[in-house]
Amino acid sequence: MDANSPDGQALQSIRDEIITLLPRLRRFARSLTRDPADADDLLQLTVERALVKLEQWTPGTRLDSWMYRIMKNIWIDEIRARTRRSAVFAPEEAGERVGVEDPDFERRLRAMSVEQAMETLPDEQRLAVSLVLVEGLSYREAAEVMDVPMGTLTSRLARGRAALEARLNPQEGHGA
Amino acid sequence: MTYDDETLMAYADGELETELRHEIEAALALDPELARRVEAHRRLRVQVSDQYQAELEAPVPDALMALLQPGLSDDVAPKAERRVLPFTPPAANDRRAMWTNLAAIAASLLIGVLIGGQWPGRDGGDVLLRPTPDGLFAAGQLEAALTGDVSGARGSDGIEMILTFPTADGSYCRSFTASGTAGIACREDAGWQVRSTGSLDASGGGEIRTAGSALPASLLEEIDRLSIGDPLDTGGEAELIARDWRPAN
Repeated sequence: MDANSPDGQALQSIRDEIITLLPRLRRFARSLTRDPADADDLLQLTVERALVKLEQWTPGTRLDSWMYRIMKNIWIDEIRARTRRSAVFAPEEAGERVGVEDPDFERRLRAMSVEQAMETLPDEQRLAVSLVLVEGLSYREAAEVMDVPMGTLTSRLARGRAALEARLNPQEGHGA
Repeated sequence: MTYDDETLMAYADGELETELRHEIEAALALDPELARRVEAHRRLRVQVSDQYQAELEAPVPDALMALLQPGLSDDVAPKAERRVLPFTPPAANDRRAMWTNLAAIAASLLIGVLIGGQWPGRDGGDVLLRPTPDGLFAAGQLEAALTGDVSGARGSDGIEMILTFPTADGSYCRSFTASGTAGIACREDAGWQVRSTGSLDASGGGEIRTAGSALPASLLEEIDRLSIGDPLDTGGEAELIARDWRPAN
């Protein structure tokens, strides 16, 4: 009866729009959880929940932000605990470089991979870094997805970046 | 003048308001240490973002596509829902092109289901569409029918040409149907590019009518948009088939 409720055709066009968002959503999932299977689960759960809640999305607002928010919530509620368990068994990638002729070897050995470094971040900082640096959202958009004020977003982002910088580029971190 | 790390970060991200931005720009010219800190922020951004770019090109799991295209499941009652998927090739300019490309691949998986899955007497061995960097192109029997059949003659493989029309760039496009699916393909140097598809109205049952009115409305609109003249008659089509669809000149 509600004139604003999407009819079948409108629903399919939203589904089609979700299809075009899948690559970005999956990238976001991978930056939140390093394990590919966990990332696929996160993506699947996000899409399932979005389809169930489709009527709650307000046409005219951004579908991508809405779906990022759903994914963020699922990640915090469900996937995170699983990721922590699997991280214990993650292979030590630095060891694979042994024997390779590389003048930068020592620095590389000390430097973590981006994925390893991301895993060391507290959740709130990791979310901020993922949304802004990986997904390219503006501070305002990222703050909306995270449901926090702009000031909170910038402070989490700054702390997350400082931690990444120290782990990824350790020599440069000690000054020019 | 000193700036805290949050301010420099926001500057590096292009998030500062004009006044403060100009102030920092001026300070950067005088202070190499400040410039180094801004540069570190920019470099880290690229470093992190690059790490995850490849994710945009990974294939989308089938289970997910099935979830988003419920009408394609065979068990579901055939609702006469019309879907049209645009297959415009991505503009190869910015980094967006990468995920547009993935979306095109996702769409091509879909059309593969749409056509391949519903094809009569087929066991999935014959490829009818091939995705390329320039878009989705017809292959196999679909390509053969587009190239060699006049409109209205239904082939034994269930593929039928509906009409042929001229376009603004001097080439030709054809609309076609194949058991429940309709599409538009346009002749390019590399072959027949499939521009869009839609499902035919289920009220037709298994029968495909030759009239253009059997096509989904959105495909008819697409034909209106692309066409610059009347559809060709059988003689005109035969002539084009004879010269392998090269434009007359």
